[in-house]
Order: sequence, then C-alpha cells, then structure tokens
Amino acid sequence: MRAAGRRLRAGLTTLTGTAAGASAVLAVLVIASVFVAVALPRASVSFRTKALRQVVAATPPTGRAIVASTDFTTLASALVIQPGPSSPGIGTDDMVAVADELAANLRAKRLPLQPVQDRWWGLTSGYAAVPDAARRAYFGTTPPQMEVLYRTNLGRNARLVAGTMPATVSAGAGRPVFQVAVTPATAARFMLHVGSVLKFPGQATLAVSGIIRPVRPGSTFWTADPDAARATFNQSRNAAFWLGGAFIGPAELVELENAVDSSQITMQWELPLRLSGIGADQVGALNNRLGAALNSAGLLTRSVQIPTSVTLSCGLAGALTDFVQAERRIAVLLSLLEVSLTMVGAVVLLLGGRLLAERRGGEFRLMRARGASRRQLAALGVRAGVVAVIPAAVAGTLIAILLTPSGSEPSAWWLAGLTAFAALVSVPLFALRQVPSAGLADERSDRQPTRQGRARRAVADLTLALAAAGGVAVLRQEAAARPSGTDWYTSAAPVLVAIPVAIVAVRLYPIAVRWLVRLSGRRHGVTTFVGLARAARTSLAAVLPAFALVLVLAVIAFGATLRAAVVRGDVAESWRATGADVVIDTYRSNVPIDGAVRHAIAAVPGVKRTSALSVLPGVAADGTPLTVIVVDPASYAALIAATPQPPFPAAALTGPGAGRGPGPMPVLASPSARQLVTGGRKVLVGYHDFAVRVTGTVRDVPGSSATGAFIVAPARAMVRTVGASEAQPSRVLVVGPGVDAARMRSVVGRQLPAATLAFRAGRLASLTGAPLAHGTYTAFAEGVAAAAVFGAVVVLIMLALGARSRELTLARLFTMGLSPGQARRLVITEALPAIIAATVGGAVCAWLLVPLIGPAVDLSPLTGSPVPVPVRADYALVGLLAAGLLALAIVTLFAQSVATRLRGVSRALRVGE
Amino acid sequence: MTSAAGRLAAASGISELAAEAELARTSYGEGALVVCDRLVRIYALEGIEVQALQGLDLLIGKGELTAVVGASGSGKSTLMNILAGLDTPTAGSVQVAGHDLSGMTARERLSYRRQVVGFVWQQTSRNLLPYMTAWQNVVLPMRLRGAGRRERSARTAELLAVLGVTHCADRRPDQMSGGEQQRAAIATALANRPDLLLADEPTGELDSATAVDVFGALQRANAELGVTVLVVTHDPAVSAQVRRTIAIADGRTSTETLRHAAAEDGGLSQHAVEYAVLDRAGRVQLPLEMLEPLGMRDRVRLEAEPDHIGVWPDNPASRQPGQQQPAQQQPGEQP
Repeated sequence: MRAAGRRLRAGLTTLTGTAAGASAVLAVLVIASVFVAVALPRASVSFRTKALRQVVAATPPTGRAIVASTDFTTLASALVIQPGPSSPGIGTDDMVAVADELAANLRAKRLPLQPVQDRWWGLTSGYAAVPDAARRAYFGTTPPQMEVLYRTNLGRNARLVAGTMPATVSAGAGRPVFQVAVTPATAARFMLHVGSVLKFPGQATLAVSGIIRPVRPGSTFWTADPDAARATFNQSRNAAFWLGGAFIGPAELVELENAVDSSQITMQWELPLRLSGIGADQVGALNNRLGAALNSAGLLTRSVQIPTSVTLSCGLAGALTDFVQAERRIAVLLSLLEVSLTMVGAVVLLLGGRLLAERRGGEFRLMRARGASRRQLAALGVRAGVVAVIPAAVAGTLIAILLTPSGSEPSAWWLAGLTAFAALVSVPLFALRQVPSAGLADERSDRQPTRQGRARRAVADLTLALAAAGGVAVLRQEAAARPSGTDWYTSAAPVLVAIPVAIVAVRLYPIAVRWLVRLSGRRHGVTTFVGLARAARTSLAAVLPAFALVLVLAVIAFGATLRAAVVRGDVAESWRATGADVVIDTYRSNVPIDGAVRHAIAAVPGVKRTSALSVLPGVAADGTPLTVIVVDPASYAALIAATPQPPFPAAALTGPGAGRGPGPMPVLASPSARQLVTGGRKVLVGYHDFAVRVTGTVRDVPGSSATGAFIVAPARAMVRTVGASEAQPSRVLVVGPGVDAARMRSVVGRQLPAATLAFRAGRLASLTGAPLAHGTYTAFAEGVAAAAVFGAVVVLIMLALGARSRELTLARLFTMGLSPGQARRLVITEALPAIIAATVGGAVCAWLLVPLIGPAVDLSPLTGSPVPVPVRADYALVGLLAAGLLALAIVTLFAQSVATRLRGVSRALRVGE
Repeated sequence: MTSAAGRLAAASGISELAAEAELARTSYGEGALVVCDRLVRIYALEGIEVQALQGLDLLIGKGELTAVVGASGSGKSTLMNILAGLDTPTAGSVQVAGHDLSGMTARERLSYRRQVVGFVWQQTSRNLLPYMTAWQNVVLPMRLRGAGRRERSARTAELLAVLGVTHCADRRPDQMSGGEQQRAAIATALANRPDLLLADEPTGELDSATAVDVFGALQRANAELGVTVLVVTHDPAVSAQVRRTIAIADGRTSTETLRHAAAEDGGLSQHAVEYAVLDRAGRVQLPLEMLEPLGMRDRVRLEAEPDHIGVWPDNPASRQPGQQQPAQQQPGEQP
C-alpha cells in the first residue's frame, strides 16, 4: 500500500516536473475558469426556468392543456353517422378513438402530455333557458340557462355528496328523462335537490339523481367551463341571467345527442401538457412544436371514416411565445457576458500556462540540450498540461453542476471545452517558446528586430483590430435586424472592443514610459529614474500580461454598466408606474379626499411632500372620450421635482383662466389630445363644459395612470368651473424615501377604508424580484466579481513572472546600499506603469462600450417597461475595482521586496536569473 | 593584346589564390575531431556589444582529453555552447566530427546533439532532472533518440558501472552526493555514445576530494569509452592532470601546455611545456610576464634566424643597424 502510494507520488512528480507549485496554480485556475464557464450558463438556465415556471403557474389550468374541439355535426359526418332519433350517435368508443388519435398526433409532434388518467373529453349540449327553474335562479324575469355536460372520469373528479351518479335514461311523458348530477353551488342557485326535475328545451327532462362536489376544483375538468362547477351570473349589454350545468352519465350520451338540438352540441377533448420538467433551455423548441402541433395535429384520419380536422388551441401558446422572445433577448445579454468571461478565463489560463512553462524552462532546455525535438517537448508540455488541466476541468465542471443542479445548457459545455483547450495548449505553446526553433540556447541577441518582423507585427495588430471591429459591427447589425439571435463571435463583443484598445495601449506604453524616464531624469532621486528606466527596457513579452487587464476591465465595465442599467431601469419603471413613493387612490370607491385626510397623510413619518389630484372622465367637443387630470400645479410640480422624473411645467397652468378670473382654462394636453382641444374648443366634464387653451404638451403625468388622450387642468380653475364636489381630489401622491408604510396603511385604513394604496417600493420589489430581472442582475454581478478575480490573478501572475528578475535587481542594488524604502519605490515604479497603462485602457473600454454595444442591448425584458433604459458607463465600480487591482499589485510588490531582503542578497545573486 | 595577357595573368593569379584558400580551408585541422577556425561570437546585451570570441582557432584530435582554462569572461563557456550546438558563431567556422555547426538546419542540429555531443554543466541541477532517478536520467537521452529498450538498459548499466554509480541507479539527485550527481551527469551525457564530451566546470561546486573523483570519472570515460573530452576548468588540480591544457584569453587561444611523462631517476615524472599559440594569421600572444620585464609594448622587432625568430624590444639601444646581437639570445631575453 505504502509502495503503491510512493509509486503514485513518484509518477505525479514525474508528470508535474520541477514545477508542482505552478502546476497546482494552473489547476486552480482551470477549476475557477471552467466553473465560471459552466456555472454561469447553467445558473442562467436555472433562473430562466424559474421565470418559465412563473409564467406557467400564472396560466389557468385549462390554458396548460391542448383543447381540441369540434361540433357534433362535423364529427358525425366524419364518422358517417346520420343525426336523428334512431341514430346510433357518437358513442364513448368514438370519442376515445378520437382522443387516442389526437394524443398520438401530438406525441408525434414531440409534445409532452400528461398520463391518460389526467385527460378527459366530453360533450356540451349548448345553453338553453329552463323556465321551470326556481325563482331564485331567475334574474328579474329572465329565466336561467342550463347546459348538459358529459365528461369522462366524472367519478374521479367528483365526490358524490347525495343520491347516485347519473346512469340511465328513462322514458318519461313523451320525452326521455335524463339522470343528472349537479354541484352543491349549482343546486343552491337553482334550488335543486336529489329528485328535482327540470324540463330542458327539446325533448329532454333532467332529473337530479345526485349532488357531486368537485375533487380538485382548480383542475381543467372544473375550470375549462366555469358553469360546470357553479352557477355563474352572465351580464352582457343586452341581458343578464344565471347559467348552470348538469352532468349526465356515459350510458346517457347517445340518448342526449338524439334528444337535444345536435347543431348546438360541441365535442371537446382536453389533453393536459406535462410541463413540470420543462426548463428554459427547452422552451424555445417546445413553443415551436406547440405552434406546429396546433396547426396540424388536429387532422383526424384513423379514428373517423372521412378525414376531418378538429380545432386545437392552447392558452399557454401566447404566453410561451412572449416568454421565448423575452428570454432570447436576455440570452443575448447573458451570452455577451458568458463568452467574454470565458475569453478572459482563457487568457488567464494562457498566462497560467506561461507561468508553468517558465517555471519548467530549465527542464525543457535541459531536455532540448539532451536531444529532445520540438515535437517531443510539445508532447511533454501537453502531458504536463493534461495532468494539471483534465482533472481540474472535471472538478470545475462537477462543482458547477453541484452548485447549479437544474438547467443544462449546451453552450456551457462548449465554453468549458474552449477553456480547457486554452489551458491545454498554453503549456506546450510556452514550453516551445522556452526553446527557440533553431534549438539554440537563447535567442540570437545580436540580431535586431528586422523591418519584416515589425511589418508582420503591424499586420497582426491590424488584423486583430479589424476582426474585433467587424464583430462589434455585426453585433450591432444583428441587434437591429434580428434581436433574438447572436453567435459566439459577436457574443465576445466586450472583449472585441477591448482588443484594439489593448493593441493601442501596448504600442503607446513604451513611448509613454520613455517620456517618463526623461522626465524623471531631471528630478532628484534615483529610485524613480532607475525603476522607470528598467520599465522602459523591459521586453514586450514581459509586460504583455499586464495588458490582459484591459480585457478584464472591459468585461468588468460591461457587466457593471448593464448591472447599473438594470437597476436604473427598474427604478425608472417603478417611478413611471406609480409616479410617487405612495399613491392613495379612492377613484373606485368614489370617496373624496378632503383636507383633513390629506393633512393626516402628510403627518405620517417620512413624508416629504404630498399633492392631491383627481382624474375625471371628460369628453372632447367632437365626442371623443378624454381624461381630465386636475392638479394643484405648484404642489404637484414641487412633488415631481423631488423625484427623478422630468420636471412638471407648472408655469404653463398659470395666467388668465387659471384662477378665478375669466377666460379659457390653460391646460396641458397629451399629444393625442392636443388636436381634440386646440383652437379654444370646449371640453365637457359631468354637466359642465368649458373652453380650454392648450399651453403645452405632456406625454406623461406621473401618478395619474392616464394614457392616450388626456389634458391636465389647474385645480382652482376646475373648482370654479365644475364645482368643488366634482373636482374633489380622488388621489394623493406622497413622496418621501423613508415613508413609514405601516403607519401610512393605518392612517389610510382609518380615514379612507375603501382606498387602495400603492407603494413604489412594492412595485420596485416586484420588478427586481422577478426571476428574469433578478437572475440577470445577479448574473451580471457575479460576472463582474468573476472578472475582478481574473484581474487579480492576472496581476499576480504578471508579478510572479517578473519576480526573479526583480529579485536579482534588488539584490544587486541592496549591495550598493539601497534602503528598504527605496526598494519598495523602485519595484513600484518599475512594475506599476504597465498596470496603470492597462487600467487607462480599461477606462477607455468602459467609455467605448456604451456607444459601441449600448445600441445592441435591449433591457426591456428586464424592466418590463417599453421605455428604453439609457445605458451609461458605471465608472465608479470600474474605478473601484481597478484601484483594488492596483492596491493588490502594490501589496504584492512590497511583499516580494521584503521577501528578497529576508531570503538574503547572496542567495539571490547566486541563483541569478 | 597586352591587356588581354594582363587579364589572363590576373585571372591566373586569382584562381591560384582561390585554390590556395581552398587548400588552406580544407587542409586546416584535417583529421581533427574539433576544428575551430577564426571563430567570432559577438553578443549585443542591452545595446552593448560584447565580443566573446575574437577569431579563436582550436584543433582537438580524436580521443584527446583536453582542458580549457581562462579568466572569467575569456570566452570559455561561449566556446562550449557553440561546440554543444547550443549557440552559433557570428563569424568563422566550427566543425565537430565533420559536422559544420555554423550551417546546420534545426533537424541536423537536433541529430548532432543526439549523436555527436554530450555535455556536463557546473550546476548539477542543470544536468539531471530532479524528479528522475539516475537510471531514468541516463535513459532519457536514449529515449529521446528512440533507442530500443534492450539497448537502453545495457548502455545505462554499462555507463553507471564505468562511472561507479551503479548503486545510485534508483536514487533521485537529491538522494545523491554532489560527486555522484556529477558522475551520473557524465553517464547521462555519454548515453548516446557521443564523439565529444564537453564538461563546463564539472568540479566547480565540489570539494577537492570529490573533484578528483569526478575528474577520475572523466578520465575513465576517455580511456575506457574512447570519447574525446573537453573540460573547461578553473581548477589547477584538474588542468594539471590532462596532457593538453589550452588557455583562452580575450576570446582567443593564447597558450597551450603539453604534459608528458618522462623516466627520471628510475621513476616517471611529469614534464610540462607551455607553448604560445600561433594562429593561422601568424599571430602569437606573448605572455605579459615575458613582455613587461623587457619593456616590450606597442611594437617589437623581429629577426628571422635559421632555427628561430628573434623578437626585440623597440628601443633606441636595440636599433643600431648591423649591430650584432648575442647569437644565443632567445626571444624575450634582454639584449
């Protein structure tokens, strides 16, 4: 056992070579990168699935089933059955056959259906007045109407309360007597009991044989037709009456078909969908299949003699389509984050691979010297990579799956694969860079970069920049033409924006540092000059890792910008929806709000401002309905000014006619109302008409809920015109960030018992708590955090790569009398310029992202508002994180400086570079 | 006509010169294993040019055990790196076992390192992979070459035995002494039966007793395996034990010391003779310790004698035309 352990350890040592620490670092980086690549898409599926479940739950049960319907005549024709008293009718076997064929058709379209026992089908006779019903069921002189229902599985969906289940048809006085069962609610309205008899129009008499109680009242069985469970009151423009339903048994079906007007009979099959296991990743396909099935699966060929079609419908179809559209827009946003983060992760892994390869550089060079070919070294690099990468990638994937159990997203595997691939190629790539192609010990240092080499680099830079610009352009075009689609190339847009910025930063950095060297040469103090001089002489390969920070900061800026935009959008929508922190409305209860009530409301702790308004129905001169909003201009403007909403033009409601004086009343009009009231036309409110003078246009009056055609009128003028009672405020708006909600409820409940209260905080909470918005916000916050961690790793790797060289420099300078303080200043002035240059590049990216990617971003599914949310760079968060990275670099450099001193100068000088 | 004849004569002169040059090129070092011909290596370190080798000539015959000595920065390690195929000369030519190192492709260079040359560095950490046993380290170059398992085993066992480290076969470098590590490194360098073994300060990090031990291993490799050995060393104990010691100064070979054993008083005694090196351009580096007492600087006067060349300081006393100088005066002696 011990020997086996030793062998395993020896084997691992052989594989990790001389850099077990660097291998472990690479493994940890792979775990983190793969975790991010897998977890983010899976988490997004998880919250999108949660949102889907909400959509499904909000749909009535019958909407979650596919409902097939046809009329009796059509189906009878298809079955070659002649309607009539002696017709064999459409029996339960025929209905079952149709149900089976429909289910098979739907399954062929790969729609998930509930088990057979959850399905039902039946027949409805159509409504007919029952004049001999009890007076209680009459509405005035209008008799109630009743329908006769046949449903399969009645016994399973209802419990017999009294009597027996309907079973037989008996011969009555010239007309068949059908046994029926009714629910207690229907029985109560129609005053029925077991043994009651009702004459049904046509040739039927209904005899109540039993009273049944619904077993699952919320199921489609009872909700598909609301009259089945209880009598309902039907009120239309022309008439009002009660409706009820009574169930017959299966043996009565054919008799019923022959007894009632067959042209009124409708046949119905209810096939509930199995939606419990459907995730957001499947909803697009489900929606497509559902659409296709509703169009084509209703064709019956096997269960009928002559092919016919039944109508299929599904209440969920529309909701699913809306959800899929919103979800796709969000998927575009999330893919921008996920792909960009994966690319940043890949860059970090390349740096990790470089660190590992450099730590094993001596080993690779020894092997090269002993006769290893480049291919053999690459194979060794791959093997070193595999040891660190594969188990780590598996671990990262498993952790991600464990933490995000629901939701499988194919893109997660692609992103994880890309990440692992980057890690795998990084080690051999940089291993080969340790041993130049000619197999020489080091590069020919007597060879200067040729003009050809410079041209090659310029072409590579230009190609990269053009490819990046192309990606951003395509993203913008796709967003304009096809907002629901994206691809990997365009999804990397935040990184693509950063690439040209990084190239420019890399090109400008040496120039800037050389300029700083000249500047520092004129000043006293040697450490700054030496540090900057060393920075200026550092090769491009050594400082290149710093510029990976540009990509990192671009992703941070992107995530922070969208995260802030989501918050801003939610807040704006909450203001748009409510108009104030609290809105107290008595419009429905028609109770006016007098001065004492308003005073009590204003006295609630936390209230800063209040304003009352009333919303009155009016009519324009041409008869078009018009909403008249009555406000006190001064208090309303002051209240609006205390909110982030556009200022209210109170001055427009002053002047002649605004107070008690004569003249047309000054009003503000909505764009659609403006043409109705311009030119001194009159407006009718109640029994009062008055001339108005349009002094301005407003698109929105916060807190009024008015849309379409409306005008805003000053309260004093309205009181004068229509009277105080007519213009009495019906709504009070309250502003105050810390309004005591409980106290406000108490006051309003006491003073205005019928009033409705709406809190903006409640609306905001519902917006931010909605699964899609909350999930996306969280994803962006997590993305920013992940990018910040990647940034920290980039800083640490960059400093680790240059550590040996810095240590040797410090050791040499310590021998010349460098003090610890000077050493700290020296390493900072040497290492920080590259990081600062990258940070400036990141800030430029943050600035560029808004105009370049902002137009391609649609946040409306998150805010639930049709009003576009302005996208603005969140410089504060980007600056904060950039400062954090700089602080990390400074602390690390200090630690390295102290470590060099503690390890001893002679050791550093002996080991050398 | 005259001009045509002149051109003909000129052409004949040029072709003669070319033929002479070709002859000189091919004949120089003919038969030697290592031929360095006017080797130049210039580095540019952060914009400063460093001439590590300044026209170095060197011939080493097959089977020799030669030491190269010189001050720090004299170009020893540069020469070793070039001979190892790890560096290329800026000018001049270098051939090892018939391989022209200045014009090799990457593939040829790889083959050269696998089959022609092996080397040992001063730091043991640069010679052996720390996570492999001595056996695995010796096997590694053969595996890289693609040698068969049987050959690998046999050769490894033979080398470890010859170098006296069979007992270290299953030990990793950190489980071996410094001497054992260097002997295992020599075995590793010899794994692919190279023609030339280069050792750069192989005893630099060892105590004297261990250094003797390691040098003994190099001598055994030279004697028993027939490999040509070139050792760079600062250690006089090492250089005193080789037949030929080449001193390098300022990027050129300056002197050579040849040692031979002579029978004396019934026993064998070592005799060492130091020679100045005469390069192909006829240049001789005269040792400072000979020049300074004679005040020789800037220029000297040469006089060809039947059996030697006299070198005279450039001072008024020695510039009397026709004045007979002491006939026995040797170069460098006071007139």
